[in-house]
Amino acid sequence: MSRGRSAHGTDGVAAAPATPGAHAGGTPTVPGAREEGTPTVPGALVVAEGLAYTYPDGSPALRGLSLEVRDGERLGLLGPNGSGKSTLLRLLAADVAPGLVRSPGTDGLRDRWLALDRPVFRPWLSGVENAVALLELRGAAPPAARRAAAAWLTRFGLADDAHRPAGSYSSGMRRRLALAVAFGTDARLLLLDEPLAGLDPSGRAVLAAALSERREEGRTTVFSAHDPGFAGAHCDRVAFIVGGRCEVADAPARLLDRVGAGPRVEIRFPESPAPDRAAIGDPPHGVRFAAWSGQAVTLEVEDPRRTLPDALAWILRGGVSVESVDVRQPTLADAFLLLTGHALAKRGE
Amino acid sequence: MTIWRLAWRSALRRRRLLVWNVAVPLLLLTPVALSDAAAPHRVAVFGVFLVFFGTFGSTIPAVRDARDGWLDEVLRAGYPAPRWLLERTLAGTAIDAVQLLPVLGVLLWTSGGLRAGPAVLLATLIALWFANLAGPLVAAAVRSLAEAALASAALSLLLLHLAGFFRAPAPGWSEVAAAWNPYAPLWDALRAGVGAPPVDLLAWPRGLLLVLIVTLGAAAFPSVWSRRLRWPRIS
Repeated sequence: MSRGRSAHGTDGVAAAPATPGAHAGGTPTVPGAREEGTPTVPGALVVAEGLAYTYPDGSPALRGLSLEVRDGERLGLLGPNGSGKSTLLRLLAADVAPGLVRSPGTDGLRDRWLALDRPVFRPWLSGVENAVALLELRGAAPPAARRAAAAWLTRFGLADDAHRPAGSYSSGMRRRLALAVAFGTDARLLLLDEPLAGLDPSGRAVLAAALSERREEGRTTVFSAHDPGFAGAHCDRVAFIVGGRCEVADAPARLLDRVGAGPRVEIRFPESPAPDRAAIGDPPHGVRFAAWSGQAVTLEVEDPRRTLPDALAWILRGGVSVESVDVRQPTLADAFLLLTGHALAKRGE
Repeated sequence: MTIWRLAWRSALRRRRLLVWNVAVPLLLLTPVALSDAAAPHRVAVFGVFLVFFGTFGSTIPAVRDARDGWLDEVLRAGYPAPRWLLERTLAGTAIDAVQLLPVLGVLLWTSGGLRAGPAVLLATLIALWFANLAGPLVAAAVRSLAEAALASAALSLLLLHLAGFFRAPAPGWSEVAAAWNPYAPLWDALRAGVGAPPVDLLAWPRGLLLVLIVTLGAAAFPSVWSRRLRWPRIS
């Protein structure tokens, strides 16, 4: 049986370092960088060009999505529910996906690993047995799989529960188990669907550190998230996915530059009809732009202290009450709203 | 042999199920073995039970593994579908046989047919192999557990009928169907086990050949069935 290529050796699994940056392995060599059939974008591991996918029931999931995954990057996928992030991750993991061009090193199933948003385990087996089984299925030798499983379960805080049946795990523990397996593989391309779902702050910190280490190793990670703060802090690039298309993909800092660095005033209304925008007219002086989204309007202002009273008066002309007013620095959620015209998530998501 | 190990580990972890799978056949079939029912009737009851045990025990988990995404996880990990099928069938056959050995022992001991033991064991292994192989193939053709149960029962009863479990095959196409039946060896061996005619090994090769053809066909064309067992079907 052939095994996945490993930067750490040939046992088909990745060791869990005790401290960040303590890896012995260097950046993996990419064979045949410009061979025929390789992506046409320099440095790209996978290129999606006009990727389309329709579910068997006829509903479209991806509508001509174009995006490249660059070698060694951490790419975050941001988008509202149903925008196609999970489908894109599944296609990136699939054995056959027309519209995708892979570079050597990610063209075999064992060169990549997808951790699903709803992890699947055998509930009657313990956490460590599930992890070992999945690593073995991927081609790891049993002793190496056991070592990697033990190390990564410990890293993700499951050492004390490793021998409990996985069926008794909470959703957060199942997420940790799925992430332990994912990082325990030596996959060149790691795909994580909603890795933050159900994770507590300590789990997020472990995930952030593990993502950073993969980046230092030159390994590629693509993950979807609903948390623009985490994506902005732990991604080299962020792609905004809306309606089955990639609207824009760039470094978080550059995305923020595109929308301006001015402070934001976010005014929220209660669950009632939104202000009549025709009646209230144009925003007052000092407001650079106003982005409406459901029960809120986000204003980029020059000086919040001077503009806020006028902005509130402007909104109240619409005959609504105001629930809350927040003044903050711009985030990727603002960039998403401005660049795509869609809110990243509905309130409460 | 990851799937083989995983199947055994799963069977041993679910000890209550393991005990039930030994106890239920004993509870249901011991009275039949001890009864004064005619030999063909005892053989028919045992045959139906053994084949249902193997087919249902393979189909229902296959549907579950497909629907909860486990099989998709296995195949996405790079495990070859033919290998998954063959290891799963092998493990299922072995585990089923271990669970059914006590009740088969009861039948042979109460019928004075211990000398037919090796033939009964071999025929049971052949029948269980086919039943376990049929499980994922049936699961690939259905959409729910209810359909899986119905299809498993219909397929099993049809093949048992054609093998001659319920009536002797009439001359003509029925005889041909019986000769090429994967359960024909089981019919022959069980009859020998309850004191009917001795084992006729000449009646086995065509049934064995059919089992071999189905096995090789399923392994050679995995895309025919494996895509339908992956959920969601993005692969």
